[in-house]
Amino acid sequence: MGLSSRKAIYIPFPQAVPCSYILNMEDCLGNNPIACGKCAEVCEKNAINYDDQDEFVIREVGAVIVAIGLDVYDPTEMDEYGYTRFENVITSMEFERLICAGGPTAGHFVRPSDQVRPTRIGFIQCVGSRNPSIGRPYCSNICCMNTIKDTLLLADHYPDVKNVVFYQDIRAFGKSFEDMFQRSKKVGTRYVRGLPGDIEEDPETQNLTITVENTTSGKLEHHELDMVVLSVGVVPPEDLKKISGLLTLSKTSDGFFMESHPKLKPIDAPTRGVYFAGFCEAPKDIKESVCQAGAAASKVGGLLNAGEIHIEAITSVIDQEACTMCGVCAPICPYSAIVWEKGQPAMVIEAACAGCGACAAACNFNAITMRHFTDDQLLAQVRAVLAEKPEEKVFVFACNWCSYAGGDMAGISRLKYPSTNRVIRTMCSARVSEEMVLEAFLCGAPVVLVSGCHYADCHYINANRQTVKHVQRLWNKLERAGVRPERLQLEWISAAEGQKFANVMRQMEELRQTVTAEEIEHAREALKPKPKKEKKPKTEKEEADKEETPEEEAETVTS
Amino acid sequence: MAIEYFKCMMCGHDWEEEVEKGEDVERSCSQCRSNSIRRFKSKPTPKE
Repeated sequence: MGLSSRKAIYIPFPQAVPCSYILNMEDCLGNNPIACGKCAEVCEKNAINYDDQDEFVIREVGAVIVAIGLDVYDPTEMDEYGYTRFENVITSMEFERLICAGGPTAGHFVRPSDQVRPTRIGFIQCVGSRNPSIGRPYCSNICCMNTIKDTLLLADHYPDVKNVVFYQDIRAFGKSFEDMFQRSKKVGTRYVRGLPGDIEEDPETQNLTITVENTTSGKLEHHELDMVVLSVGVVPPEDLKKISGLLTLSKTSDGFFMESHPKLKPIDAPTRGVYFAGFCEAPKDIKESVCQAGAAASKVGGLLNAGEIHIEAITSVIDQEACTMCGVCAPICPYSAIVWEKGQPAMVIEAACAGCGACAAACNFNAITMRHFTDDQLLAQVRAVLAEKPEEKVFVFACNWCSYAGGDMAGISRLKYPSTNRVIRTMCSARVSEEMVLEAFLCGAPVVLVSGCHYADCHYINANRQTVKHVQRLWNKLERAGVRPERLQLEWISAAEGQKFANVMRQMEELRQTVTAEEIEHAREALKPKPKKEKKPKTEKEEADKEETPEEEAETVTS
Repeated sequence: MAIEYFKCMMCGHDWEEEVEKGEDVERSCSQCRSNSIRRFKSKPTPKE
């Protein structure tokens, strides 16, 4: 803020942990040769080593806790609040420095333009939060309580200060938070429901005038203030992308890390052995961060002290001889558990494989076997189910975690739906290969449904996006073969959606009744596999090109 | 952003939408809520 100067050797702030000095080599007069050296002379513990350099340290670890924190939203892009134009518009972080006893003004709260103590202070909430137009639709969770705390702090230090808070909602849902909010109102803080549209500055006094529509009264109000504090939201840290790549972690649409399961595994990353603590997973306050850090530490303790770990029994195995080294499987794996180098057969890291089976469904050369859910096993199930009166059956592939459980939920809830469906369980809907669907049609299934988890619920990070690709390709294939593509359906059904499962089964039955015997027979003929020609193995590029070809209209679909 | 075309494979409702490259959106039909949404890069021609 330019309010005070700092020496070349300093403690970042009085409460810093560890409370040790930092030597800023950019400001130091130099150490080669040593130009000043006074700090080393006075350090009794000889803790200053000018030769110490940054270095990479390699450590082997059994688990990783990702706690990379947050960044604060930079309000320069929201020019309507004048952060770049008016000196007396500051952010909540700058407010903290001004009011802090260890800050540049030793805790004497003054406004930047003239170093005079302000008496009328405005706080604008949700700057960089809950604003889809700037790509930040989420609530930052901490700003409301931070502002309430600031108003109480000001009232305590300077009883004559008048605070006005401009807000859209006050979210005070933690323990004692509502009490704090009421205390803030009692000490005279005025809460105006409505976010300002504009701020103007008086060039002489540098006072600020805020124009706001008070949505409670429906009136336009003008507030003259000495200073405005922008209650800035939080954003994912800059390093998040880098860490995400290193540990194969996925992100939510907000840009924070995605946990393994929002309710049952909120600490775990989808990559085993990796845990989250704090803001990098989602905006949260100190108390929640501390809870999460404790939980992560205890999970790591459990893992490291277990002596032995159990790996998933349902994993993929690659037949090294059958592998054509095309590399199609490697980028598909959500866990990066497949290692492939050009000219080398692919290999599965079994400890990292979670068993979704997306790779096995994608392999065109049957080189990947999914333990416990092999192609032969699944195809045998398809044939067995459709061995008798296939025309009377709706064939359903359901994923283990959501859709199959959704079917269970429908049953437990005693919901009525047609009894014509026959469900086959796979671990993930991405395990359902094109061959399996076509086999169902070849066996005479009038309707085939592929069902899986909703996007946000996918138990294998994002494996079900592959399901969409398979189904899109199959729709194209069916259409080319003169088979009504509508006979193949796709639905996302969660474990709690028993009602949806029942509704979908009713719709499938209605659809089944529209399929004629001639259509079934035509599909059987049209989809018959043609005698195989000697194929040369596809390269990864050819596979990608195929997906982009315009004739294949819908190949590159991710939704 | 590019315009793409969608068709519900359950009720036949079709529409066009601006699509961001690399987007990760779960789609459902606005009329019947089905997730069987077929995606086309160019406008599909109606069949006879």
